[in-house]
Amino acid sequence: MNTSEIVKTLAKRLDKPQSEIKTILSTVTGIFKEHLGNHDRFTIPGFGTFDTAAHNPRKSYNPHVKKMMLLPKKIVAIFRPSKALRENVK
Amino acid sequence: MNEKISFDQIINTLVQRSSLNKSFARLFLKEMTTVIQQGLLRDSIVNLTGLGIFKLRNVPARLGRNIQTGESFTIAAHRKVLFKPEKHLREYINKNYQHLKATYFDDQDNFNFAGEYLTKNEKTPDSAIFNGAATESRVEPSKVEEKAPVTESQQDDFKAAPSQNLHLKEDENSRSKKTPIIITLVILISILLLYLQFSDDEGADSSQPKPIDPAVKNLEQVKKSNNSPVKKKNSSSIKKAVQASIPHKTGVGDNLWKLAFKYYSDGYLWPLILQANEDKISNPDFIAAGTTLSIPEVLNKTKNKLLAKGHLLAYKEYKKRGDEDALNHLYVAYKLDKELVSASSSNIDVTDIQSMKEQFSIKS
Repeated sequence: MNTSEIVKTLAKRLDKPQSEIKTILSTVTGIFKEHLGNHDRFTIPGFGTFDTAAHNPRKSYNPHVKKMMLLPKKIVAIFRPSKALRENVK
Repeated sequence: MNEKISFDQIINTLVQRSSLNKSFARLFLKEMTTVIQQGLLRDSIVNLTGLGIFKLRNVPARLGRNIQTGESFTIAAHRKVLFKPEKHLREYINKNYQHLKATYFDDQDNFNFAGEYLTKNEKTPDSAIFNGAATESRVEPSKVEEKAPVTESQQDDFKAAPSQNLHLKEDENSRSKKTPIIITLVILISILLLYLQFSDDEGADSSQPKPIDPAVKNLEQVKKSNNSPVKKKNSSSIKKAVQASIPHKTGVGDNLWKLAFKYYSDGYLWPLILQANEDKISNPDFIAAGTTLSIPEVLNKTKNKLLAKGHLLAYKEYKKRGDEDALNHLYVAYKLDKELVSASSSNIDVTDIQSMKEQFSIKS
């Protein structure tokens, strides 16, 4: 399923034009992105929690070049599905 | 930074930005999540532009254990939701550390520099963040100020520690450099002494038995008893033949037959290799990969004698393990060089000789 399909089904369910749904959806994803960019944590009830975590710098081995290397610190996004989603998807 | 945003806050920002009423915003988010869930159940993958991909992964059933009771139970096979953020989102989240790239080191020593690199790199973005926080939030500048010196001192400690370690390492290095030199010197001196002794022995009496090989001993005893000049020539040629050898590093799947076939184009000559590498091969049926064997170059005159010795060695090894092939090897050795077998009868079971003679109907 891709974004256009999501927009179509949402438009059908909410009885709204697709263009409107599209703008709302992009606003929602924009809010999510903003919060994740601020490294905040937020929960959508019945869906899951979005969070960020810092990966500390670590030594690693590149098997292709056969050399040790240092991977720098980075911050990654994390999604923890809620119990309801986990159970439904099982 | 790192705050918990409530669902209401998200709804409020959505209402502010899209001029919807609150209840519809709530409904929209709820419907959105249900649609995503349905999409996951239908296609097991949902691609939401601007956020990322939600995916289902199959997890096979596995054995688990109750930590408290120690009972084992099966965790049923199930599906798991994965979320992979878009590249753009990933970069946006990691914007503070975006400039850092993975670096390679060549040696183990460079890891010290790596430690410094770590602290340095942590320093720049963190300090930037702290400064940013100070300018943005005027509520708690004192806290920020308190935090900053602590981190600095920690970094100083970090920096000091590797340098001390470096000094220690240098000392260790100098010690470790000295020890191998001493060892090599001792080895060299011992080799020299041994060589001198040998040369003296040879100069005094060329027919003295060497303590290396019992088979060679026996051969030389035979020569002594015969004392014929022809045999002496033979012995010298044998020595030459043994000396002129090709080194061969064994690989996986090598065996004596293969090597013999490769170097002599005759697999039946494998006892020659066994004879030349008596100290390296403990089991003629198996050669450890990675050992360097010396493959002797054999002249036709000396072939039989060496081959007989090799077969005798093979006989000994097989005899140790109670293999039936032992008798065959003894027979071949006997066929090739009767004197050698009779001379080294101390190493051979008398019963074996008798049974060998019976089996192959040899008249004594």
